[in-house]
Amino acid sequence: MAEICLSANNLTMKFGGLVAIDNVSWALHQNEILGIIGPNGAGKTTIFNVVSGLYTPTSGEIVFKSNIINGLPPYKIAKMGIKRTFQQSRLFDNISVLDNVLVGMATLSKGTLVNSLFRRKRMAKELDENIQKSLGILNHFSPFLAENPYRKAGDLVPGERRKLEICRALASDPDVLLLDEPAAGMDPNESAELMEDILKIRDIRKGIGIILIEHDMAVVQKTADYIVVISYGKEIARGSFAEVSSNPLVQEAYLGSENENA
Amino acid sequence: METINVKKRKTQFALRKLITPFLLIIVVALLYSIVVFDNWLITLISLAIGTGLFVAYAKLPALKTLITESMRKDRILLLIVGVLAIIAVPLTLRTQPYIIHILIIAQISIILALGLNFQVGSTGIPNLGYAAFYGVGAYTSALLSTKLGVSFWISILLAGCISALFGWLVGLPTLKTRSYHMALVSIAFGLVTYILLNNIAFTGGPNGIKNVPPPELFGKSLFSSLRIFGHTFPVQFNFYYFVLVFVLLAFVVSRFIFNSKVGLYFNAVREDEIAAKCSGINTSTMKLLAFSIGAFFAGIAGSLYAHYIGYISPENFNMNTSLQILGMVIMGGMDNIAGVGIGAFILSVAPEKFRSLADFRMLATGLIILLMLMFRPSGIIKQQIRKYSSKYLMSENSTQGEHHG
Ligand SMILES: Nc1ncnc2c1ncn2[C@@H]1O[C@H](COP(=O)(O)OP(=O)(O)O)[C@@H](O)[C@H]1O
Ligand SMILES: [Mg+2]
Repeated sequence: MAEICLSANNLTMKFGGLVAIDNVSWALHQNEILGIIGPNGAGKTTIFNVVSGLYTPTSGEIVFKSNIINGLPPYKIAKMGIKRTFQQSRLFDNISVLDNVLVGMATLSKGTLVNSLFRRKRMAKELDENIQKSLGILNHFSPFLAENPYRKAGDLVPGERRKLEICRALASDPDVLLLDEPAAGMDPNESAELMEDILKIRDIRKGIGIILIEHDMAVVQKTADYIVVISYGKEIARGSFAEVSSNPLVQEAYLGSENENA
Repeated sequence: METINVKKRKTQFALRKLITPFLLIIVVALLYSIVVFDNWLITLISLAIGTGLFVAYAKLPALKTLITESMRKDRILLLIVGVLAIIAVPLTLRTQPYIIHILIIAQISIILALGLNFQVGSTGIPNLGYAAFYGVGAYTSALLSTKLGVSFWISILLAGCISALFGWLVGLPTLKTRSYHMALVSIAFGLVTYILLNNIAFTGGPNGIKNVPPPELFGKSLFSSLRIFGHTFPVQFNFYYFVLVFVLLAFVVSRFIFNSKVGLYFNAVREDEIAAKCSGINTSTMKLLAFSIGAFFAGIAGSLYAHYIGYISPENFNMNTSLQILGMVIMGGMDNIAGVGIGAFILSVAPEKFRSLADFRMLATGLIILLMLMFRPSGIIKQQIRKYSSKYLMSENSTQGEHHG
């Protein structure tokens, strides 16, 4: 078994009286795609918000490369090598596609103002390399984006927006990538295509661990190596897709939520 | 058949060559009648004509591409004419020092607006108390040179640095706040600074500071009139070129920061702070940096103002001033350096020209901003997409060029 790169131990997150994550544990290995699924409101996004440092967990710990990282500010966690996307995509709308990816490389640069003042040649070279790399990543997910690097991110259609967000997160060669419902709002074809691209991330970034959040179980069927199912903040099942999908608790949780939705 | 076509094309070509000179003549004529004629009606009419032409330019795509294209082709000519005009203007105004005075105030305003643009335009931090930084700079410089006899050059440098430090400090409490709250905090520090300046005996209270000495250059005071070829030039003449150097520096530094990573990260903070954080940007540092750089510009501008006018009082740095500078940035175009410069120029010259309207002049200025916000909220020049000259993007650029040609 590959090494564990990120794990949550007895993680709990409370908002006042609401327990959004209730004593949840999981481990992500190198080269693995871990699926965290559950109905809407189960607490999936909250897990990412805690891991990426936006929230400080009420109790429990998050361990990344054998360091406890809870409570660190988001930018430090990003610098350590954990990058994420958002369920409601959060792009920098008024700047270009290329600039969005270049911001994603922020963690790579050492020093900003001082370097750009006194090491202009080196900075220019670095920029050139970064642009080349950006175009490569964009091309992996969407040749359209790579061909239109100067398009305003705000002018993209939803599918392209999601892809650009993934590119931005991948730009700094993270060790862990957190994807929050990347296929939301896509039709089955687009979503299947995206899952193919996600599987291929491991070709451009060896050893990367990916956590994929989904509320739709079918989407992760082919992608996730291992699945943790949560409902109302609690873990209710774990295992391979076949194992969790045949679990009666899981079926009940999903049926329950569908009845509510109807 | 073919020869006719060729002829047609040739005349078209010749016509196209005339576009830039024609534009130049219009712009220079308008500027001249707005700035130099001492009649508010002429100023108003010229402003209206200018606006009309600008609207036509913005609304008619054919005209727009034609003009931008010919401007791009003739950009060297434009640059040369522009530089010559900027250098030559005071020479034609030897007998009208007041007009040169207006231009100097416009120059100082440009430095101020460029500084505020880092905060409001690039980083998206609302700041309704920017005049506080301007005031801190002006008072620092004035106090240093009147009370301690420090030379101008050290005073202006310290004015910039102390103002930047002040910017960093008032930036701290705004880090935890967002949009409306942040705007309120900025109003508060603007007011507090104004009230403090009014009430501390050390700064002269409401009387301010008088007799701030003019800068010295090569051992000569800038207040000594030049005599060239038997003509005496007013002291404003000296200051015009003196401040011009600072304006050029301000433009160069602004451009440099805009094109650097810092400029890009400022934009990321403005566009989405949470996404910026999760991309690895220390958003607090970026905001404080925007505060300090902007305050540094304001400090320099304040020092220039104090040593030019020779007298400062708290009234120069009240809420009104803050709003006026904010208006320049919004009107010119947020996060667009050229636009902000143009906005600052128009909004500092217009009120001076409307002076004869007495109390109505602020109304006129307000009207300009209001109309602007209604019909062109993006400002005179819109925010531009950053272009890079990387070899990996070369194919991109060339195909774009073909489309245009
Ligand atoms: N910042 C917050 N404050 C209060 N409650 C929150 C906050 N964030 C999430 N919640 C609550 O936590 C629960 C889980 O939300 P979330 O993690 O977004 O669910 P999911 O992503 O699985 O749909 C929901 O009941 C939600 O209302
Ligand atoms: Mg969610």
